[in-house]
Amino acid sequence: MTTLVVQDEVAEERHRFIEKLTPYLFISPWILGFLFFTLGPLIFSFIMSFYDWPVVGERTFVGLQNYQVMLTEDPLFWDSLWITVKFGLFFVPFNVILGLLLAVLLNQKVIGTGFFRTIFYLPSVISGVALVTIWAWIYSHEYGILNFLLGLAGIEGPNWLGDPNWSLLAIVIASLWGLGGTMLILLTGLQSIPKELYEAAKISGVPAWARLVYITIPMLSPMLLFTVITSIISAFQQLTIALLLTGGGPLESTYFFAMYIYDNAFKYFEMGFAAANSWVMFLIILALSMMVLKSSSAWVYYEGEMKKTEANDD
Amino acid sequence: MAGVNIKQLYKSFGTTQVLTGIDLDIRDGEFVSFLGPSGCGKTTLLRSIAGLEDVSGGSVWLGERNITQLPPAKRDIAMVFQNYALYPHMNVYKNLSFGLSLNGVPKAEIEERVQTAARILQISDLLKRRPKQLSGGQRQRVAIGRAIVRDPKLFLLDEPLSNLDAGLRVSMRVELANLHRRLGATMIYVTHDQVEAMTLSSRVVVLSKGVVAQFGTPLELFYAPQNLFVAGFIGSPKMNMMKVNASAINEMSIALTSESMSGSIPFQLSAPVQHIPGQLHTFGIRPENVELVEEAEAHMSGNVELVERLGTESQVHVRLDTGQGLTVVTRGTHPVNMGDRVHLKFPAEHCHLFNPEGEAYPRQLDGETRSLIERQETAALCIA
Repeated sequence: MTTLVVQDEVAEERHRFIEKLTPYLFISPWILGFLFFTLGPLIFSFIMSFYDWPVVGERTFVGLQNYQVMLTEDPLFWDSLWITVKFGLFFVPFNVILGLLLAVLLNQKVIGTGFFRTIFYLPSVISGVALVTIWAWIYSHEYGILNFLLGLAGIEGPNWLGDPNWSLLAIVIASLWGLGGTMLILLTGLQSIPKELYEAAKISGVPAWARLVYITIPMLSPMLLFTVITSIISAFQQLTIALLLTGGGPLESTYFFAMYIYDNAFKYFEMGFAAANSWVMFLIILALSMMVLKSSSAWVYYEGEMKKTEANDD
Repeated sequence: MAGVNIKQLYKSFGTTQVLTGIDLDIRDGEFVSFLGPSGCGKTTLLRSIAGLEDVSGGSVWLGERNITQLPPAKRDIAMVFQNYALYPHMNVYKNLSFGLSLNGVPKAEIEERVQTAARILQISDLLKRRPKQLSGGQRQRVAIGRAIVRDPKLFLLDEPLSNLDAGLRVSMRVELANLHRRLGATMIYVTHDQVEAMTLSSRVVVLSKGVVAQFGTPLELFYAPQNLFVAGFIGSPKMNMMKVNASAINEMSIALTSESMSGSIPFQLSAPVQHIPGQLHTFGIRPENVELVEEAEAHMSGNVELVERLGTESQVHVRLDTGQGLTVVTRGTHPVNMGDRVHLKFPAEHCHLFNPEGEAYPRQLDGETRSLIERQETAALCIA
């Protein structure tokens, strides 16, 4: 009798354990992927960054030397960082603002919006290499369509990719071609704003610009926050377009930080140094994202939440 | 303040005709309800007056101005939406003042208007809150407040109470009536709730499939419905209806007969009718007017299927021998029981009669009812 009870308890215990385990089994593919392809490399690269780690040959622990060299002895680090920041200063606001304007335009009840939505999103699904090839043709100094069009207007176009004064701008413009993703997120946000808010505003005589500034943007602010942060991240990770379009030139005017890391890792095979570079990039992106998030309490409105100061008022 | 004049208004969405030749003359200071089942066009009509819908034909006048082509902001109107449409990211004060501050109203005046509206609606202590922190009733007040601060010539209210629970709806109804009296403004109120329409309005527009079925005082709609639709729509439980034959007795009365009815009902007209087509008439009587009597006096008999006891009254559902169902409302303590055999009498003075097209014959009303209807009509006229 006693043994039976004990057996029952054991069976029940096992049953309970399996029941608890089941949900984890369901999400295990994702967990394994995260461990092996995200968390693992992250930790591994962190360890690497304290080593002199050539692809072949002896690995030696060097402590903080990689970081010290990068910050104090390698001018390319600061140059490439500055170029990336300059790029970001153009790219982030334009990406968000143009994405918003396009979304607002496409949210109008006009014939053909479905067609234009597709057109504007199309660049986002084209592969990077094809996109860069197209832009190389557009920007070509002698035969490019851009300078041809400028010529029709009587303007002599610059050598977009060959002139260090214009090359960064050329990459900003080419990158903005992919703002379809931003546009799509904001368009979805726009469509979730109740139309009665606009109708009430129309009846109250609120002009169109004020409806955009005082209703649309606050209601859209969570999506705007999201797109600002993802734009910052993609600005820092800018590599494909610059690598294929200018290769960092001319005169290293488009030598992005990601390219600096890429060269250190796969051109000079300084894996430890490149890992240290990557960690600096990670920390910069983290710091910027935190700053934006911190500021968001002042300008982002979430449904169902209120600012702390207001909550204290009541 | 101003009245509203709607002339031959048409509205279609694509090939769907939503409003067909609407003509309405709403007097200055009147409280008028648009009443009808969903899809009858009442909200579209309101939105057309607001300028939120472009009309396909006809015109809308506010006072002496043709406002048909004006943008909503230039119409001198204010609207309260069904789901309040408060700006969720603004506090109550901002919600009330937003439109004013963008239209160049001086700060001091905004402050005064907001405080006055807040006082009228008893929301002065809520001005710093966000809509999310308010109850349904409070939100409704803010939405009404936003209309009041505009000081409009015309208030448009689109089912403003439908999102509130039953108890709150009754108290807000009383407040709306008080507010109307206090402001003296013309108000148009869309609802599918006939109790709201009957209690609040000086006159009610009953809409059916985009057409005005009847426009009159609440009691007029109840006692003298002009057609089958209004007769069936106004009143709860619904009016009982059945097919009868009609034949003229003399100029002022018609005999109603049917194979399943013993005897005939002498229907009294209030005005002479030239031609009685004979068959296919519809006879109507409200459940509260059907009498339970002895078999000898009865017009029809049937069996009780269900008795619903509501305290003040009992609703008795009877299956007639013809197979048709019929509802009788009798006193709360009437001893009638499920399964009982009952005998029904339809007093001629409470009968309604509709011709084959569904239009009502003018019926003779007793002096008391007539004077009540007249009193309501005079009151509606007095507003102007």
